[in-house]
Amino acid sequence: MVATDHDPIIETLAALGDCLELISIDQYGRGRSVGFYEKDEVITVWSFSREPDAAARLTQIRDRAVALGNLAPVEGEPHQFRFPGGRIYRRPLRFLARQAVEKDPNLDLPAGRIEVKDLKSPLILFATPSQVEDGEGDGRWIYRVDGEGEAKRPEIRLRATVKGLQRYGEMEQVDETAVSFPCGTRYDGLMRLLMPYARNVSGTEDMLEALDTRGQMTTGTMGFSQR
Amino acid sequence: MAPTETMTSRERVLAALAGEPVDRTPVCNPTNVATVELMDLVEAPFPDANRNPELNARLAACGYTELGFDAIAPYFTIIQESSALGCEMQWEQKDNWPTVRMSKPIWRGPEDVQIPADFLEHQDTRAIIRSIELLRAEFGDQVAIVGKTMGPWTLAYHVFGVEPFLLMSIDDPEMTLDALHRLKEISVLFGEAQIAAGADVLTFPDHATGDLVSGEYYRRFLLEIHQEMAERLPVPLILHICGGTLDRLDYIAQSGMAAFHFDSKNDQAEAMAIADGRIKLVGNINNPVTLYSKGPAEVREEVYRCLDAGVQMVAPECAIPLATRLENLLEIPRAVRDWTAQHSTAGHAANPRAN
Repeated sequence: MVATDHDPIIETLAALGDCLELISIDQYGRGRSVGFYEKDEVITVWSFSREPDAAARLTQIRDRAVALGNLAPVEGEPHQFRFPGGRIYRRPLRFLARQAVEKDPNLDLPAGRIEVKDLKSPLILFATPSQVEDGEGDGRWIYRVDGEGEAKRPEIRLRATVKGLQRYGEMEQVDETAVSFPCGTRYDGLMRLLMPYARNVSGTEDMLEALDTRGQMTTGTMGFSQR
Repeated sequence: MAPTETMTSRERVLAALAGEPVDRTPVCNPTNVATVELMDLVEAPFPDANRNPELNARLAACGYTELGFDAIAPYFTIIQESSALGCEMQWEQKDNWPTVRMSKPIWRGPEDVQIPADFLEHQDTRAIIRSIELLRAEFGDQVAIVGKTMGPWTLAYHVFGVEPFLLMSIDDPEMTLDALHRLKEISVLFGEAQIAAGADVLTFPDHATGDLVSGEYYRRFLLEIHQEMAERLPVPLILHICGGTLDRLDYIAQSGMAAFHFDSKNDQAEAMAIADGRIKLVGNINNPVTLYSKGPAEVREEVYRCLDAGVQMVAPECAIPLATRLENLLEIPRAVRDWTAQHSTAGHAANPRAN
């Protein structure tokens, strides 16, 4: 009855490291859970399922994550990748992992200008990467956020988006409308991924709360409270 | 050096519940510790693992075989009896808890309470009973098997609906008591069946929670019934009530139950002071913040706080979130062992405050 034909999870986890994001159901992978584990700055896409097609699907997710985020695959390791700038950005990774697992793997990857339609004004918000010299010759990349179209006070929306990028992208503010990743690396893919969340902080917070509440047994989720 | 463990997990849990010496504080979960990753590991996903005894036993066993807890608790949810009574169910997917559609109650008053003749043969009660038989056969006396039977207050929410039942309790206390006394027979029937199947202990959830009812309500409607349950069900009972319960803990301590599974909303030291040895305490590791969203270091801190306060059995405060990270669960028994090693003297490994 008891399943014993697997390695003890304590040993598996020692090799995988810390779980940064866990997605309970991969609808394109027979409903398996998919974890993004980190050890020594390497992220492993992992499932405890031993179904024969699991490995191929994890490779597909890894490849999708790499392409979506402008990240780097680990050579010879089909389920691993790293952030080329070294530093791991946990909050962006959360959104990246969900996109890589939950979006149809046959959809084309987004391309072109980094832009998104604003939800609270008629603006098209867009971000432009540029490399700046900071005196030490390392040429960090910054992203300037701007808007196209007519809006009463566009600067308010631009500032709000910058705040959202700081919140969900772990980015540093360069000036009122520009941000950069603290490591200075160019991550156009991550920026493209973050813009829709950054433009709508309250909506994103609601979404994150709903994600976190699912699977929790509380008096609220059981219907035993007035909340 | 870590002190030698001299007891089996089952011996440790039963001794702690009886107030006897233990070689270390047991990690005894009165409620679920299954996660989506464990479901994948043993190919026993929700909702099927709640309804199929083989899958149920396989998933439940992970608490002992994989996580290193001292107990196996195969009743993951709170809905098995209510399903067998005919409540409308929402079974959900792997990543969420099945629930009773309480907006569609099946009964209106005490006179409607009827236990179906085949109650114990229903798929959703049978799954738990058979699972306990399988687990007992597999593990013998190694590990404590913790069954669960829902108390009449929780059953009342399910069969009457939360709002109608609470209104009944205000409008007609006598009718409410009548309903509870009729419903308690379901608790006894299912509990006895699990004991016969091999359960060492029963968790007795009865959600008279601080969110909705006062401590005085507990005394008025439930204390005597809980005392009766402790007499009629011949194994140690662990009462479970979520939320802040310090206002009713003095009454709970008079229930005759062996232990109380308490929530992280309650300060451990304050709870221990009120319990004052009359009832053992178990639980208190926070689920939604610590186990779900923090890391092993924070889990360890909470385990140590419980042990420092003398809490007799360590466990998550309630059924854990299904997406809990495994490293956080593994940290609970690891922290208990480390704390024990740090506090042990020759021949005295256990927590002296726990008795």
